[in-house]
Amino acid sequence: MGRRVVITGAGTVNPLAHDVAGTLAALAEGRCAIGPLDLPDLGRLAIRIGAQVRGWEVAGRFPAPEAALMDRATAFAVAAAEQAVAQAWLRLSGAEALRAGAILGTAGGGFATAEDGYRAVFAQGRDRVHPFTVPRLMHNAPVAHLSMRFGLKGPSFTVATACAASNHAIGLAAQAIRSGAADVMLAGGSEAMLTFGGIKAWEGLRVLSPDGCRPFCASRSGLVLGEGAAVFVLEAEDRARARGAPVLAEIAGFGMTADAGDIVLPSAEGAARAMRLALEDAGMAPGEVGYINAHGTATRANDRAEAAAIHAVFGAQAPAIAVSSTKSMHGHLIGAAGAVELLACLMALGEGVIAPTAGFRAADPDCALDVVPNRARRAEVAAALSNAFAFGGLNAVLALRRADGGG
Amino acid sequence: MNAAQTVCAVIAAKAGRDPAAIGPETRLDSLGLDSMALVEALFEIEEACGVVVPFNANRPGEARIDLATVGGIARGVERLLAERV
Repeated sequence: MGRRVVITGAGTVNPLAHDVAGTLAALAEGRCAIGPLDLPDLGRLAIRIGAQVRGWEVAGRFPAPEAALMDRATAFAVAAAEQAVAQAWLRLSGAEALRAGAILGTAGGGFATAEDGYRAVFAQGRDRVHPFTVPRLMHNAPVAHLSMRFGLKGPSFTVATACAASNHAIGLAAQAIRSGAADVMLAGGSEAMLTFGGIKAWEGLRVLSPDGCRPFCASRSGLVLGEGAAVFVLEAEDRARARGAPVLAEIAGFGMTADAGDIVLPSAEGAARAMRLALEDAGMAPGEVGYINAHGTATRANDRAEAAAIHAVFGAQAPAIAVSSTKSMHGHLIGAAGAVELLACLMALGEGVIAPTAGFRAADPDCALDVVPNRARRAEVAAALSNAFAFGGLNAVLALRRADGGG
Repeated sequence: MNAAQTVCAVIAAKAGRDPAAIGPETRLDSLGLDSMALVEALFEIEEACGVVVPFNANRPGEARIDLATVGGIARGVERLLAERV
């Protein structure tokens, strides 16, 4: 067991709000940001709902020379990281910067940039694309911008494990600190795939809902795509305490597994193993867990498998654990999902408020869980899990403890 | 090729079988076709026939089409074609 790792700053831009305070308020109210999409060529899409970040344009947020180099996914990440760094009062000396890095998750990377380029050459018949197409679309662009902006010179890279990318990124960043490879890490994820082509691609799989995201509900009809980012400052606990930084929670454990099964269908066994590994890694007894932020995509397959996995891990205690999927409010942020959902865990641990599963109508016997339907709940939560299970059967679970150690 | 022949041809190709060995009563699961193969087969049938089959993998019962058999899919596509006119 290496050093303890704590979260000292958080930032976000997501469909619920453009900052953490607004996001937590929305989660506590059970407010839903899913609605009609505002996109060009909407008439050619079969699915016309999503969770968009409204009133937030890259051009208005960054000076023109910077904006020219940023896809929306990068801009979300930079804006979220600025908030996190400000909250953590992060100042790095030249030597400290060498031991500070960034790991972010994304699935689509600069999806809109690629789409704009294709549209120019294929649809519009033009012979050239924007000169910054490559630096804007590359999956490592968001991390590179964090490194440049905050002077991070240590371990920095991007993780692309679809819906589990953020949890993998945060877990790996925590491991880097634990192992001594770094002292401070920015970690999280960003996604901006709410484009015509992004939705078209998802439509093909026939798993998107036409009418809303209702995880674990008997009436669930599929997932709803979202966009945005969340970024956290992770640091070694001794460093954070020594400088008097705010400690929001401890990242106590991390479990990652692969199903070695199906490219889209999840396995309850693989999910359960990831949860068990996270608990073991944290030295956390199942009985300590008061909240699970579920992957809860509202697909038939995920919610059944996840419920079975929770029952397998927690046994007789499973029905007593509050389990909610906040995707019901902010949609599925794919590569940014785990990062934004970590905010719900921080709210449960730090403020004793458990975010609900919104839009819930009727129980599904295959998902026999306390899903905190529709209304937030007050509860003392000393420890929480955050689940993320990706297409391809790649699973990542974070185990968190309250800042005071839950004692 | 009519709709029934198109459905038969697409499903036979997907399953790697001779179309002559597949009839209206043939079940997709008996051909070893799973839900992913169904999604891909429906796409090819839609492209060939010019219809959209209202199928959401999360609500399979609401497709208003018997997706279990070759004949069921063919009848559904024929009905969609008739409704289109």
